[in-house]
Amino acid sequence: MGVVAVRFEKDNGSPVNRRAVKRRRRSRREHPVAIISGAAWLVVILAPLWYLVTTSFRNQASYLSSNPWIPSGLTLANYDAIVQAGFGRFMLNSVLVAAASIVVVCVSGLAASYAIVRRTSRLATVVMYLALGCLALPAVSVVVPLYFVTQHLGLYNTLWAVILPVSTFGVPVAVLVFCTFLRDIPAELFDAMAVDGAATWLVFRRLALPMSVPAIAIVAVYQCVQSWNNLLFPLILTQSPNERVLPLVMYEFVGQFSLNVPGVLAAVVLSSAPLVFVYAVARKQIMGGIVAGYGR
Amino acid sequence: MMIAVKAPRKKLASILTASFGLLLPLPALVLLTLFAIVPLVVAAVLSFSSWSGAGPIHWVGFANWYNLLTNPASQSAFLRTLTAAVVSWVVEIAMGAALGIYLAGPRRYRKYLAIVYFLPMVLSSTAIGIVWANFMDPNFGALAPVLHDLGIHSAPALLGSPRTALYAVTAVICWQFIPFNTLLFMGGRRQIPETVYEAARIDGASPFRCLRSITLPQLRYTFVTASILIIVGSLGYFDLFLVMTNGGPGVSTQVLALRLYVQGFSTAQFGAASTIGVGLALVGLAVGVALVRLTGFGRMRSQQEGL
Repeated sequence: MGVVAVRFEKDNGSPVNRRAVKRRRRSRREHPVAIISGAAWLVVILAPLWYLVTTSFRNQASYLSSNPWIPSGLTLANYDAIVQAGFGRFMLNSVLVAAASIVVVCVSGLAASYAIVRRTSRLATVVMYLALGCLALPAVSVVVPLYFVTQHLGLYNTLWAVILPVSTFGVPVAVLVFCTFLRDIPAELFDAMAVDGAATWLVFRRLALPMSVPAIAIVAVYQCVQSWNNLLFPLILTQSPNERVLPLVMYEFVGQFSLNVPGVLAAVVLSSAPLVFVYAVARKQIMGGIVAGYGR
Repeated sequence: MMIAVKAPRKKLASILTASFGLLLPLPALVLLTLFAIVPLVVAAVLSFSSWSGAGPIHWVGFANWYNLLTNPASQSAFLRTLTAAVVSWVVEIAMGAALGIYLAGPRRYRKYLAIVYFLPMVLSSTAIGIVWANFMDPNFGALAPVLHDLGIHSAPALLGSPRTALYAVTAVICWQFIPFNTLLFMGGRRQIPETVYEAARIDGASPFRCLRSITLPQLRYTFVTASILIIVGSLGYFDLFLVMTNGGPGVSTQVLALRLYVQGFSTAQFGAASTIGVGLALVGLAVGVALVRLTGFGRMRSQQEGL
C-alpha cells in the first residue's frame, strides 16, 4: 500500500491527490477539542498533587482558614516534626525491604525462567504453572493463614515477614517478564555453547545473564514500586514500631496526627519522594514492568 | 592441610555445577509454596472451621460457605465489591482507551503530557487515599470550594455520607488506575502499523472512520486484557477502602476484602475470614485462567489482523 501512496504523491495534477493532501494537512493540525481535553485531564491529575505538596508546607492556621488552592503560611515545621518522629528509621526499613525483595525476586525469577525456557528439569514446568496460577491470586486471600505461617517460621514481626510475601507475589510477574525475554534468545546460541561443552551454569552465566540485563532492570523497578507501596503485609505481619515500613507509618499517622493534616501530608510527600525520583530516572522500566506485570 | 580442605570444597562445587539445572527452579518453588500455596490450602481448610486463633478448632462443615452466600451482611459486601468493580471497569476502560489513543498520537507535546499522566502509577494506595480523603474534606479540603463555585452549595461530605462514600472511593480507584489502563491502550495503539492507516486514508477514510474501523477492532485484545485485570484487581481491592473510610460510614463501604480483614483481625473469626479469602481466590483464578487462554501465554501468536 505504501507504494500506491508514493505514486499518488508524485501525481501532482490529479484532483484526487489534491483532496488527499488537503485531508492530510487537516489531520496534521491539532483539533482544539484534543488540546482542551488533554489539558483538562492534566488538571485532574495535578490538582490533588498540587494540594498535597502545598498543604504539606502550610502552618495549622493557614490550613484551617485560608484558600486551599493558594499557598500561604508556608513553613518547614511539618517536615521537621515528621523527621523528629523517627522517619529516618522507617525510611531505612522501607529501603531494606525494597532492596532485599528486588534481589530475591530477580534471582529466583531469573533462575526459574531460565529453567522453564531451557527445560532443564521437570520442576520447571511445575513452577511455571504455579506462577501462572498465582498471577491472579489476590493477596488478601492468603493473608489470614500467612499470619500463622510467618509465626510458625519465626518471621512474624520481622522485616522478612514483609520481604518474603511481597517477593512471592512479585515472582509470577518476574517469571512472565524473564520468560518473554529469554525466549527471544535464539536457541542456536544455547546449542552452540552446549556443543562446545559448556555446563548449564556456564551457559547461564555467560549467555542468559548478560542478555537479560534489560529485563532485570524492568523487574527490579517493578518490584521496587510494589514492595515500597505494599500496605497489607506490614499491616498484618509486623507489629513493633521498629519494624514499621512507610505505608504503615503513613496509615498510623492518620490516626495519631488526625488534627495535623499538613503533618500527615508531609509524611506522604517524604514517603513518595523516593519513588517519584525513581520514576524520573527509570520511567521506561517502570512502564515496561507495569505493563508486563499487568499492574499488580 | 590445605589440600585436605580444598578437595571437598571442589567436590561440592562440582556437584553444584552438575546439578545446576535441577536447582534453578527451587528458590521460586520454595517461595510460591511457602507463601502462596500452603497459605491457600490452610485457608481452604480453615474455611470449614470456626476458630478464634487460639484453643481448639471446631469443624463446622459448610456453615461458613452457606453463611457467605446467604448472610445479608456478606451479600451487601459482595454487592459493594461488584458495584466498585463495574463502575471502575466502565470508567477505567473508557478513559484508558480515550487517553491511550490520544497519547499514542504523533504530536510531540503529548509525550510530555504522558510524563504527568503516568505519575500516579508510582504513588501508593495509602498515599493516594490519604491525599484524596483530605482533598475531599467538606470543611478544609480543596474540592468543596470548587464545587461551591460550580453551584453545588451545600458542600457535600462525599466520604461522610453512606449514599456517596462508595462512589467517592471508586472515583479515587479510577484516578489511581486510569494511568495504567492508558498505558496498556497506548502500547496497543502503537503496535498497530501505520501502513493500515495510510491505506485507509488513501481510500478516503475520515479520522473517525479510522478510529471506528481500525483502532478499536485492532485493540480488542487490549480491551479483553484490561477488563480482566480490572475485575481481578478489584476483587482484592482493600487499601483505599481501609485508608479512606475504613468501611464507613457504618458499613456502607465495607467491600469483601475489607470484611475479610475485619472478621479476621478485629473479631478473630478466622474461619469466616478464610472463607471470603478462598472465595475471592476462586473467582480470581477462574478469571486468571480466562486471561491465560485469551492472551495465549506459552504460545507465540500474532495479535494483528489483516497483515
